[in-house]
Amino acid sequence: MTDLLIVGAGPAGMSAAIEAVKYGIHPIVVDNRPEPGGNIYAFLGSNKRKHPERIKIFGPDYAKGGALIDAFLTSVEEGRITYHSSARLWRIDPDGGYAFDGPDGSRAGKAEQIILATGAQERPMPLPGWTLPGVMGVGAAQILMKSGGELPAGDIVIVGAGPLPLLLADQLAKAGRPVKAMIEPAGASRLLNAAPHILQAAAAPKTALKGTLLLAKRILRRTSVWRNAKNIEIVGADTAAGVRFMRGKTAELDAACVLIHDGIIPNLNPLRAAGLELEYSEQQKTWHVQSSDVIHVAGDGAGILGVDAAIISGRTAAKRVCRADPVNSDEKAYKKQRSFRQFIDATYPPVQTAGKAKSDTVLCRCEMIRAGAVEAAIDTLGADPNAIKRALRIGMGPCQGRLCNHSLADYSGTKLNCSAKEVGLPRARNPVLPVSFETLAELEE
Amino acid sequence: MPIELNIDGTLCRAEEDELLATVLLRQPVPLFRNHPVDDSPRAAFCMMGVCFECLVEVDGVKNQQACLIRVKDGMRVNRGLK
Ligand SMILES: Cc1cc2nc3c(=O)[nH]c(=O)nc-3n(C[C@H](O)[C@H](O)[C@H](O)COP(=O)(O)OP(=O)(O)OC[C@H]3O[C@@H](n4cnc5c(N)ncnc54)[C@H](O)[C@@H]3O)c2cc1C
Ligand code: FES
Repeated sequence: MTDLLIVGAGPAGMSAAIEAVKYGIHPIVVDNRPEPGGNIYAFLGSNKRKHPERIKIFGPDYAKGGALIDAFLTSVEEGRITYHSSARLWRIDPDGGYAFDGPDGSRAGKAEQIILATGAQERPMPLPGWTLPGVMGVGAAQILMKSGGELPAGDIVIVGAGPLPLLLADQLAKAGRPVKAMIEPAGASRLLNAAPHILQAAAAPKTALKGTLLLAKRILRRTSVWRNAKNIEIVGADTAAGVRFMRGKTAELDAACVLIHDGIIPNLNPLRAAGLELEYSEQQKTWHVQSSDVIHVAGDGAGILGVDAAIISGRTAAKRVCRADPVNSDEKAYKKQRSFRQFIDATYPPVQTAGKAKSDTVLCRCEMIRAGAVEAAIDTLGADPNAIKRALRIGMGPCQGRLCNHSLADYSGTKLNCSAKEVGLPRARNPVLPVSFETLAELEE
Repeated sequence: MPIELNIDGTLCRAEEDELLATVLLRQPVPLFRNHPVDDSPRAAFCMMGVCFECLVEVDGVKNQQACLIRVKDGMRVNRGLK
C-alpha cells in the first residue's frame, strides 16, 4: 500500500510533495510531462540550465519557480520523493486504487491517500475553422515557446481577452514576433463593470499592478486591438489564413497563426473518475471539485486561482493528509488570491463560444461532431448529456471529452434556455486516458 | 547536443531534449496526421496533453502524444500523412 500518491508535478503537486516530506511521508509523484513544472513553470528547469535567454522572455514570474523545482528535485535525489516523469495516471478509484503507465511500464496499486494536483487546461473555444493547422491555444503557444519552439512563420493574431493573452502578446514581442492584432470577442472584457472588485483587488497589490502594467504595455506596443468583435471565424483551406469578424461591417485580417483563448478551466476528467463531488462555479462558469477523505484536490482542480494559491493549496492538502493544522498565514494569503481572482473573473468573463456555435461549427474535434448534429439530438433526446453522448459518440474519441464536454453543456444550455450547470456533464469513467490492451494485459498478470 | 531523427523516411536534426511536437511544428510540412474521420490535416493544438491532436507513431507504437515526448537520437516517427 502506498502512503501518499500525488498526481501532477506542477506548482501544487510539487509543493504538496515537499510539505509531505517534512512530516516524514515519502510520496510517489506521477506526472505526464518530461520534467516538473506544470503549466506556468513548463521547462523552467532545463531552460535554467541550458537556455537562460528563454528565461528573459518569460520574466521574473517564470524564473521565480526555479526554487520550488530545485527543492522538489533535491528531495527526489535524496530519495524522499519517488518521481515518475512521463508517466500517465490512467485509472483512479474513489477508494484510492490507481494505475499509471510510463517508460518503466505500468503500475497499479492502492494508496492510503491521494492528492490530485492535475491542474488546468484552456477552455475550448469552438469557432468556425478552429481545427485548421496554424490555430492553437494561447497557453499552448506559450508552452511551445517555453519548450524552445517557434510559432508558424507569418502574421500572428490573437482571438480572446484576459491576463494570459496579454502576457503572451508581451512575451512574443520580446521574442521578436510581435502580435499583429488582438481581436476581443464581444463580452470578453468588462473592465468597466469590474470596478467594484478593483477595490478588493487592492488586497493583492502586486499582482493587480502587474495586470495594469500589462494592459498599458499592450497599448504602447501598437498592436491593433479590435474590441467587441462578433461572428468570428478562422478562414483558410488546409491551414489558417486569416480571421474574419463583424464590427459594424465585416473585417478580415490575414494571419498564418491564430491563437485563441477563452480562459482556463480545471482538467476535470481524473477528478470526476475519482468520484469526487462537482460544484458549479457561476463566477468561473465551470465545475470545481471537492476533496473526499481519501482523495484531496490541490491547485487548479479546486478552482482557478493562479500559481501562488496553487502552491498554498498543495501545502495545505499535504498538511491535511499528515493531520497537521493549516497555517494562519497560508489561509490569509489564499483568501487574498481569491479576491484578486474575483477581479480577474469579473473583468474577463468567458464568452463560451460553444453556446452560440453555428450548425457547422465542430464541437467535438476527435469525432468531428458539429453543433447541428447536437441540436438535432437535443430535439429528440432532450438535454441528457449521457444520451447525447451515446447517440452521437460526442466525447468518445481519444481526448474523452476533455474539450467537448464543456462545449456540449454550454451549447445545450443555450438551446434549452438554461445554464450549463443544469445540463451537467456526461459521466466520466476509468480509464481516464486511453490505454492499450498490452497495458491492461500486463497488469492482469 | 544535436541528434538525428527519422520523420517519414527523411532524416532531420533536432536538439536533444526538444519536444517531438516542437520539432514537428518546424518541419516544411508542419502537420501531425490526417484526421481519422474526414482526413483533414491536423497539428498540435493544446501542447499540454489534453486534445490528442498531436498523435503520431513513434518507433512503431501508434497514437503517441508528440507534445509530451522528447526526441531521441535515432527516433523513427511516422505521421502517415496522405
Ligand atoms: C499555459 C498556462 C500559463 C499559465 N500562466 C500563469 C501565470 O503566468 N500566472 C499564474 O498565476 N497562473 C498561470 N496559469 C494558471 C496556472 O494553471 C496555475 O497558476 C498553475 O500552473 C497551477 O498549478 P497546478 O499545479 O494546479 O497545475 P498545473 O501547473 O496545470 O500542473 C498539473 C500537472 O499535472 C499533470 N497531469 C494532469 N493530468 C495528469 C495525468 N492523468 N497523469 C499524469 N499527470 C497529469 C499535467 O501535465 C501538469 O504537469 C497558467 C495556466 C496555463 C494553462
Ligand atoms: S497537442 Fe494537445 S495533446 Fe498534444
